[in-house]
Amino acid sequence: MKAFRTKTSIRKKLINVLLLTSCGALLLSSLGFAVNDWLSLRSAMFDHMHGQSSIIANNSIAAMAFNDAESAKETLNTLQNDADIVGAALYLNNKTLFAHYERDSNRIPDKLPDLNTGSLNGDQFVVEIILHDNEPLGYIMLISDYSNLKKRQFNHLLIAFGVFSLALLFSLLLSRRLQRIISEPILKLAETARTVSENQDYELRAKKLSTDEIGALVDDFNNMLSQIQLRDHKLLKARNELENKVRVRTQELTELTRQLEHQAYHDTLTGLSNRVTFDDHLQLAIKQARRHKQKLAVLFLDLDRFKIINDTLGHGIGDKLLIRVAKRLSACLRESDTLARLGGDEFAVLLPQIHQASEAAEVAKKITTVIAETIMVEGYSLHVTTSLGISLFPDDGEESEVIVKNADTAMYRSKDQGRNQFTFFSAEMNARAERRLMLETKLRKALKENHLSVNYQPRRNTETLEIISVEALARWNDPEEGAITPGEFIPLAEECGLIAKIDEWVLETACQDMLSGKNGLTAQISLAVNLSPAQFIRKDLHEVIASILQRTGFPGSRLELEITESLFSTDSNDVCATLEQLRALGIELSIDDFGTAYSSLSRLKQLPLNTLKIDQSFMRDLGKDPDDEALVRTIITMAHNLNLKVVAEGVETELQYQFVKQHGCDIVQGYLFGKPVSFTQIQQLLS
Amino acid sequence: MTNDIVGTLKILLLITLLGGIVSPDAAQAESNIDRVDKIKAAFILNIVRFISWPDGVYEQQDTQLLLCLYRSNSINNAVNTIDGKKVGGKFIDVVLVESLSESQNCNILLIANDEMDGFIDEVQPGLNRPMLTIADFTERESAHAFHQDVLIALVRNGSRISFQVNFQKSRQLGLWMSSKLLKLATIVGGGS
Repeated sequence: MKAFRTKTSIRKKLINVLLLTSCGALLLSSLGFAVNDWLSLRSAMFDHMHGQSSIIANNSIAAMAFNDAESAKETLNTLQNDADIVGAALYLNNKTLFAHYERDSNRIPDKLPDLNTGSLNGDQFVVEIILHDNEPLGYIMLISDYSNLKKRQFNHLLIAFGVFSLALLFSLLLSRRLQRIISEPILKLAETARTVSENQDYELRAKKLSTDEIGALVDDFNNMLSQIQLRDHKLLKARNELENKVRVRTQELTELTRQLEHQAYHDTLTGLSNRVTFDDHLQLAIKQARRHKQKLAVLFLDLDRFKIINDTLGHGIGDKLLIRVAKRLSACLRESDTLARLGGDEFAVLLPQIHQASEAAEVAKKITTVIAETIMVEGYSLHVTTSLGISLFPDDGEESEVIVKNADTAMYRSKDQGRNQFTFFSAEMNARAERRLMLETKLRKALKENHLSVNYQPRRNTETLEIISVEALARWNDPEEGAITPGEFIPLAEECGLIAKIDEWVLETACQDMLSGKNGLTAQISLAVNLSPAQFIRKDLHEVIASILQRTGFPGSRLELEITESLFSTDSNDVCATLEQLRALGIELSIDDFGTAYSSLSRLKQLPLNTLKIDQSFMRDLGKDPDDEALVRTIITMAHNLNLKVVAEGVETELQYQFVKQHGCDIVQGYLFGKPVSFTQIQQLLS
Repeated sequence: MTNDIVGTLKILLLITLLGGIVSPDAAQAESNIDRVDKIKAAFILNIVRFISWPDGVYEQQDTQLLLCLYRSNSINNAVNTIDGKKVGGKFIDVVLVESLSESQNCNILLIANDEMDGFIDEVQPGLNRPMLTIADFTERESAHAFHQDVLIALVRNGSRISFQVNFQKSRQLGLWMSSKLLKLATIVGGGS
């Protein structure tokens, strides 16, 4: 049964169902017919027996009346042609047998049964009374068995079976055709579904053959196909989009790979070769130079004071500055040269196949020139310079590492010598370079661990020689190296970006010292502090100064900030604005080391200065060099004309003192009037 | 023909077979003649039950059947036993007539064997009304000429009593005899 339900085709199922139904109906009909036939036949048989009994009774009346048993028997014998009747008997009124007929023996009872109808020894009988002229003459009994009835029933059943078989055959033929009404739409639908499944063609639609439940199923199926088609389109669209994305991503990845490969050999910021490429090129160039017995040069350079720009204006501006510098450097070089950024503001140039050192010097000179030109970055006019070191193959080294290291050393030499210049490597530079590296480490540590100190050098009124102010000077006394001169560590601090911290520390310490003076000894004198030109790039310089004054409580009116002449070489209006902001705090401004650099007089006039300090180099030759004497005289006159006070620094002899006093110098400072000493000593001097 | 009739007119009284009609106890007590008469009377009653008379002939037709005994005879006593019996809704009324002229209203006229000659004489030129004439020839030993105006004759048939019917004459007179009766009877008359 389960196999039938699951494995048999719907066509066969329908045929079987129809046949089973027909068969069942036919069987029931046949059964009903048989039962009905049996009952009808039986009823008919009894009716027939009653009819026959009436006829026989009627025909036997006279025989009974005249007691003619023979005649009566003749009458009864007429029943032998009746297949249903197997026996008949006439009984007198006293129920004794009068005459009888029987097909087989022992069918007729001697005495009449009491019932009118019933069963006797398996035979059926009917009994009727015989009346003549309303007078009972006797009884007639007819006996029948079912043999003839069964024979007829059998015949009827045979016919019924024939009809049943024909009906079943007809049902089979009819059901084979009729099942298509149901199975055809289903099979069509299934065929469409299979075609759709095999061909993945969701544009196909099942044909609707009827409007019944199967028709509704077809509609639902078609709707489902529409949904699938729609989803398919969406999926296709999504796939295309995905493929496009993959394509784009692949392109991006390819580009990224290319970039990464590029980055592996190039500097990301400037696009120049990086250290790896530079080293490769250098090694290759060395091999070629060695083979062809040629020279090559490595130029190592970095930007002076770049760290200050980076720290104060931000990395964004620093990076842009580097890009502009890279472009300018590239413009100076040949195709065959290699320009690389080694990191930070360090660049290296490989000049292969040079014949003599002067060719490298020319390139270096060109570089310093183009870099020194003002560079505009986001509204800032940046004035940077570069210091170069040059190392030659094979003169300064045979290996690439050595050559690069020596070029680096030579570069620091350039910085030590005042920057914005180039220097060829020499053997003695190695020692200096090592010391410089050692000092940088120590300076950072000293700043952190407070190994710096402040000394104060008195400044005296030229006429009265009273101490009217002191200049705070940073001093570094290293436990191992001993005292390190400002001339050595201040440029170092400027180079490695520590100068701002040192300046601020000196200013704050000096202000605190001056206010802590015993018995008000320092209450009346002013304080002069040096301010690195690098500080002026900071937009918040005046806020930093104001913050220190506020913290310490030192009055701005007693503070004098010394700035170098080199600051004014830049034509920045920002410097002037910053100076004005400082003046607004009550601070006086003096220009330090005047005469060592180029200063435009008109520019000097515009700046809010109070004091001008004549560089001590002019003092040395006073009384010896008439030119210097003339210059000092002119400076003093000019300063006074600009309404500036004049300080002569580095006065060490009486002669020098007399000269400046004679020409109206306002304030003198130098060993003649007091060396830089500790605050305690200054107090002693004042007392 | 006459010989055939005579041959069949045999009277046989079987007392045992007619026990259902005549009580056996009475039969033991009575003489054989009385018992035969009673059987004849019973025969007559049964025959009458199979006969119909034409409408509109008798005044008493709705209530009575007039059974007339032709002259006095030994059978009369036996026939009186069926007096008042109901036949077809009518009661049998037994009366004695001495001559045929008295029999105008008789439905049935019973003629004993002894009175047969007188009847023949009187009936000339012939019976012309629907009166059932029953003659008793049971006592005759041999065949006897069957008179044309005798419609039913009781005869002896071996040991049994039988009867003969002049069917043609009966039809002519308008009497109707049941086929059931005819089936048991011997049909005679009409010279055929």
